[in-house]
Amino acid sequence: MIKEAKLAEILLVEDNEGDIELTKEAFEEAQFRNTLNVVEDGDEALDYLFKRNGFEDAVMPDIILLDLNLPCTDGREVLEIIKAEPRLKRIPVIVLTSSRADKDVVESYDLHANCYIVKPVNAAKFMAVVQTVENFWVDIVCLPPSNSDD
Amino acid sequence: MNKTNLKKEASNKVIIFRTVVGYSIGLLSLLMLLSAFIIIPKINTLFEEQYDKDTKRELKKEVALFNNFIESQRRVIEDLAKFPSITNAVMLSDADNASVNGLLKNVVIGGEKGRLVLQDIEANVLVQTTKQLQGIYTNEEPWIEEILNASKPYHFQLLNQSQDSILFKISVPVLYSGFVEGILTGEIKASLDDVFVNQVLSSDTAITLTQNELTVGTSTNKIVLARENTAMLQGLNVTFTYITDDAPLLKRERSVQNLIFSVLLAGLAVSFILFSLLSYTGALQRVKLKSKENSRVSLYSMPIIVGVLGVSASIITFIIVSNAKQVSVENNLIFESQKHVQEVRENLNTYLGILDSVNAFFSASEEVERQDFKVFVESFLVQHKSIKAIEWIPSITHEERLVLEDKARLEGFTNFSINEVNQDGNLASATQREHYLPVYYLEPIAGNENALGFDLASNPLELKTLIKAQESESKVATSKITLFEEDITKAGIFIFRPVFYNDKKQVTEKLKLQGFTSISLRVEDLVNEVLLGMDSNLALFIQDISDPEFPETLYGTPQVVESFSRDEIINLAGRSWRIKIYSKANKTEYAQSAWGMLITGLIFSGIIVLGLVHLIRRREYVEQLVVQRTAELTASEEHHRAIVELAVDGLITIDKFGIIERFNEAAENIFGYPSKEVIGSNIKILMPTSSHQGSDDYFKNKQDETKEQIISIERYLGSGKYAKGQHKNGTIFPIEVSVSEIKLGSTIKYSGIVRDISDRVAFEKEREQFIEKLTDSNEELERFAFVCSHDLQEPLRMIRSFSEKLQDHIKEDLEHDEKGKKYFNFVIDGAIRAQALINDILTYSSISNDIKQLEDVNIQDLINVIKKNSLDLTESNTAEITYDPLPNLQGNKTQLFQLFQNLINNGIKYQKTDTKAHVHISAKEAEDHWCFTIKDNGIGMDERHFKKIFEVFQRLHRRSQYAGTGVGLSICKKVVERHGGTIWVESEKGMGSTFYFTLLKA
Repeated sequence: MIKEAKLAEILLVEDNEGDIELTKEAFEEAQFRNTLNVVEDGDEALDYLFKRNGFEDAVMPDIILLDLNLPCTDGREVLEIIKAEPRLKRIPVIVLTSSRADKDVVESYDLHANCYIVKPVNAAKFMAVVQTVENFWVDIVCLPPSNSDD
Repeated sequence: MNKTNLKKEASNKVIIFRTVVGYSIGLLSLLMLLSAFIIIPKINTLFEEQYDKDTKRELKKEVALFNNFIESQRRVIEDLAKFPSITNAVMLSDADNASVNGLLKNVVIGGEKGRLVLQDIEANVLVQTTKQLQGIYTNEEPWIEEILNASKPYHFQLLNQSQDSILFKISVPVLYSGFVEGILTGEIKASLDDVFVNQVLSSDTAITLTQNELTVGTSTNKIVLARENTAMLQGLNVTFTYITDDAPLLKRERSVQNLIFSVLLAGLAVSFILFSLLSYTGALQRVKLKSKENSRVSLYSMPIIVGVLGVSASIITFIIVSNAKQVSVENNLIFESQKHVQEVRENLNTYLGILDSVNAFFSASEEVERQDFKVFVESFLVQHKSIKAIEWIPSITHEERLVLEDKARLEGFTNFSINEVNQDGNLASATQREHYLPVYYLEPIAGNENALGFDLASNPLELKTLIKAQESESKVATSKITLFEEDITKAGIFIFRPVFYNDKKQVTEKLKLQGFTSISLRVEDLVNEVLLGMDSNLALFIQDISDPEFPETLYGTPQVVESFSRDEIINLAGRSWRIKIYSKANKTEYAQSAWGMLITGLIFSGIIVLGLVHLIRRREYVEQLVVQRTAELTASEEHHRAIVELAVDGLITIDKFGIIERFNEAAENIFGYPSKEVIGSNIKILMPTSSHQGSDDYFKNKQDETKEQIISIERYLGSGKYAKGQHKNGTIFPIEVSVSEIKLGSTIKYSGIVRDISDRVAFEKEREQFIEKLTDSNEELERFAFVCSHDLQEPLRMIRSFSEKLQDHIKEDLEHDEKGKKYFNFVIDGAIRAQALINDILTYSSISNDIKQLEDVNIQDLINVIKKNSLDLTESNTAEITYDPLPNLQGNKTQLFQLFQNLINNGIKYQKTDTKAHVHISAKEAEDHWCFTIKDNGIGMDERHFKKIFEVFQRLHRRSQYAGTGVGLSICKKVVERHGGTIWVESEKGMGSTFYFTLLKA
């Protein structure tokens, strides 16, 4: 079997339907072949990552795009749990949030976020950012091998 | 501290003791004055009285003795006057009768030198026994007339005094058939010692007799200060004077006086020395510390002194009393012995006088018949029971023996014979010898039968005495013999007097013995006569000590115990008798009362000493206690003082006039004055001038004690009053004062606690400024939020309105453009959410701090309004709201409405789709608040969200599930907290939630 570029699995944790729409459109526009899985709150994200509560068949993502302001369990907690879990901590977590607050930035990096991106207000820029992130994290960055046992 | 206390204690003791000694000095001085003016004169009077009494008694005694003496002499003369020959002589005025002459010549009156004078009724002297008479015997003498006409029983007259004897005469009438027929006078020369017994004993007394102008008596040479006590002897017509010497009395008085004064002076001197010593010691003690032992010694010196004084006083009293007792016993003894021995002496004299009379009777008579003898002696025997017998013992030859024996037998004594005691000890007829001395006449016969006829010559002892009598031609007494018919234990004596034939021709010729007259006496009877009048406590013992080597007991038992005794010697017809009078009781018995006094005194002293020691101990204990307590008190006071001094707050005590009495260190720091500068000054120096008015008003009126004062001070009384103080440097600063009134007995003081609150005031000022600043910024924020909400609403409304307008406008284009529709939805939904957010933020920020506008809120009404609104919003039958009775509260109605509305709406909103929502509201009353419960049957939540849900913008659900801004519960929290309560939740996922919150009651 010819070894092709691996299709990356991307998990988007985002409650804002507008942003989900824009992200999806950005993926479509760039004709990425990567898979975009969307969960809408922190609990769901954790369920997905730990493969429970209906996500038993979920595929372990290669990259996680994480919004900070989430209902229920918010993004910070999710980040903390991921980075504390040996099986998950290597997965790059890109914090994608509307908050510009320094507090959030510092806190996120302290929780070992891999990068912090403020959502651009302009829709075109938003999509550009999403595409850049995709390019960078999927094509340029060398990611750790995904756990084949999953 | 201990040392100084000890010192103080010691010096206190000294001072006390010194005071006591001082009082003693005063007391002693007083005693001296008393002694000088009262006690000593009183004692002198007592002495005088006693002396006077003694002297009177002596006088009485002497008079009695003198009377007895004269009486016995008179009796002898009277007896003589009864002689028939004398009676015949005066009857016939014929003194030629030989028997009369013989009688008078042989009778011895008042010693060997006595004379007799016989006068007839014409007062012519018939017979006189000497050539030269002392007395005057003419009928011109008044006494002769008096006797002759029987107006006077006898006449006594003093005649003369020679060296140691006095001459006097006693004249008695010679009676015949009761008529005075003549006068018999005896001129008697008597030794002074015989007349005045007392003279023998003491040289400081004298006795004189005065008759008419003649005074006789004992020597008064040795008498220094004569005191005369006289007694008139009526019968004798003699003044009897007993002279005593006052010198010894005065000497005694003076010695007592001296003794008292010397004792007092000694006491005074001792006290004074003690006083000075103690003053000195006290002074020393003030200078240097004395050890406790020393002070103890000085403390105990008082009981020691008292003890010593008590014991010495007891001993002295003992000695004085026992001496006094002894003296009194001895005096009594002297008196008794003098009296009784004199009696004995007189009695014996009387008996000797009787013997003389009998002897004279025989001498004067040619022949004395037995019957004559009997008649003559009978009267004596009747008068003198002590006379055992009177005998006539003729001296006879063997030739005469038979004649006499026959004669006696003829006279009725049929068994008469001259007897002797034979070898067997029995009476038997005397063996033949040349001379016999038989008892021939004997009266009384009864009781003396065996004696009659007894030949005295057969008894060597009696013979010896008889021979002695014959040779001395005088009376001689035998030694102790046992009388006839008598108990052998009972002593008797014979006194013999020889009778000579009266036919002596020449002086040189030896007198021819006719016989002996004899008188036998029983000593016991002799004594009994005397003992009748004798003190029953006294005993009598008589010894014949003529032969000093072999004294013979005549009467009584010798003194067996050591007791008071007194010896008197009597010379009786050639023998010496010692008469001892002694007290029956032992000497020690007399001392008993003295011993009793001694013991009592010692016990008394002991008790006083013990009492004193006890008192001192007690005082020491109390003092110790006081010292201890004082130390404790001092410690506690120092402790308090330390607290006061070191207190952080200033402490100032003033009296009721505002004068500062105490000013502690903190106060010094606060006001800048050292305490010594302000103590004594008025409190107003610590107040700014503007405040003086108030305090001045108060303190100026201090004398008035008006109500104003009280009002003024009340202004300051209490705690936490604010005032202004003035520092020494003039700075005025705020102070907080707490003044309390202290009542110490009747004095009132005020104690003030002062605190400099400059720092606090500054801090408070700062805080106020900060709060003001905060309020300003809050207001700005609120204003900003308000402006925001309004100004933001505007563009949002634009977006929303025109998005909808645009959507409507390109409705046809969008018909198949799903994406376009979606985009429009995003835009409009975003605008709506923004509006909701802004509204919520406005609400949240408008819950201001100030809930000053409290109003009565009826929660139940509130719920009803909410219920109506909520149920209107939801579709009917999808929700139910119930409640228990709810209270009325004080609070901000709008906010409370918000609170309840949010919670109730949440309960309805977060509901499982298939369940009918049920919200129940209840309230529970607690002490100061209400606890409300809002319970729903909704979806519930995990415990980890219990806190988070009250934070702003925190949501548990996606918007797609349950819409919301995440501000509602934050608003609730804020409202509850603004009303002074807390809010919390209890829940379980899927099991519904219960929200609790508390609200203050008022």
